[in-house]
Amino acid sequence: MAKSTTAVLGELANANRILGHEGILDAYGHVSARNPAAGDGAGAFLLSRARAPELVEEADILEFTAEGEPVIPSTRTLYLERYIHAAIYAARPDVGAVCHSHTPSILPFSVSTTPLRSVIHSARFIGPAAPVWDISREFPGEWSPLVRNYAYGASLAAALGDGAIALLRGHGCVVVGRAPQEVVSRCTAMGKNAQVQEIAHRLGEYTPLHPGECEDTLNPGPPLAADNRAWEYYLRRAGLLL
Amino acid sequence: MEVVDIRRELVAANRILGHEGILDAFGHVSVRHPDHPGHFLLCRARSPENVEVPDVLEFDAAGNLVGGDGAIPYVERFIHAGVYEARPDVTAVCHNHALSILPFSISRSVKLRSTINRSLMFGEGVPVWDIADDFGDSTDMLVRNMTQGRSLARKLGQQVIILMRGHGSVVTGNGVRQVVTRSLNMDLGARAQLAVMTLGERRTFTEPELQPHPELPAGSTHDDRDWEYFMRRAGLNRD
Repeated sequence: MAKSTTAVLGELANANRILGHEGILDAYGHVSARNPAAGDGAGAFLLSRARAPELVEEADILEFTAEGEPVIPSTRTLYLERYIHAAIYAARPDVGAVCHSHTPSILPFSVSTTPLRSVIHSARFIGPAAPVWDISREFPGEWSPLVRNYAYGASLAAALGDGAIALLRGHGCVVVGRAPQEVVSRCTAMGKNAQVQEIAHRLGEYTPLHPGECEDTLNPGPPLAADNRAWEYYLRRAGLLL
Repeated sequence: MEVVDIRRELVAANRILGHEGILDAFGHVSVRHPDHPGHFLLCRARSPENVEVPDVLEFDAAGNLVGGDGAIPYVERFIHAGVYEARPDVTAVCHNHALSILPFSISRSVKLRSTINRSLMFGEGVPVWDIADDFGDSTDMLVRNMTQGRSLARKLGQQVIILMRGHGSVVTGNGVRQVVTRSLNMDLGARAQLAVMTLGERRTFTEPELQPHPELPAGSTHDDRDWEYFMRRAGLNRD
């Protein structure tokens, strides 16, 4: 059964707060969710007004059009990079939630020619090499790293392709999933994978996951009970569950 | 110990190792059933820091749930079943994905080994079980059946601890308290080894020091002192 917009609003606020609490997001970054009621004048996706994710409340969340503009014109400040979300939802019907983060552990891999890759089983979704989107190559002369219009978002979505993660050179990453719960699991696993890979690299040679051990992100099977187990854990840690 | 007390200790062990960051959303601690030989106790599929006494389930020697009223068990209960079958001396098992040991589970250059007194159980190098060796390179890396659990237990042999490539580790002990102490020591030892490698030349242990100490009895004073301390830290014995 499809979830209601109200249910997704609550999950989305919690996903923002959890990833803030876990240090995946800091003052910046954001999580969005596809609006289950999209169409007929309802917005394509849901995203907070410009606010640090750990502080996001349901009342901060607005509906945005498929082009990334607020459905109801708002005087509230909006995230400049909302086009990341708009373009990914347009390109990927399988995606139900998107996180854009500047997680410290993945940032070195966004700059290094050593690719971020799956080295632990919980991060099977990364694959043999996370793509890196370099705005300065895609848009020569661009001085800002920010995905501040739809064309930039579409270019990033193309780099993401069918995958679950793409890095933004010197900036951060995007992680996608079927629901906020899956995005939370993936983001935390991504942070851990990056830390493990960086240490193993310093130690010398290491064995990453074999290609067949990585997840087919387009055909991931039924939603995992493991995501719900983790969701309860992270809700409690963030003080969102008594 | 009465089974009701064992259940309480098992819950506390899960919560302590969750609180200390050895376990996170995933991982689990089990204990041999005191009355049913071959059986063991393990919680339903719930994050270890959240488990409560009613979550404790009983499993038979093959990892099958006994009763349980439809509770969902951990997929990887076969880790525990495999170890208990192969090791009569083991009465408690912790499966974890501790961050500190994961790099050693994939490194081909450096083995996890003794660096400090509290990591002497690592010996000259902790063996790594690679699921791809017996089950091919296209699994989802989870220990999903008894055949895989037995393969892991064979690699464990008579060791205290074994690493699982790209996945985590299994720590064994005699009693829940010992497995908690050993899991905490595993983390300290791994972190110490990484730091020592960064600092350059090291002072080495002598041969007699590197030999495993004679085994302390279960419930030894060290484990009990740890237990009281970590119970308090996890907010479990405030009364």
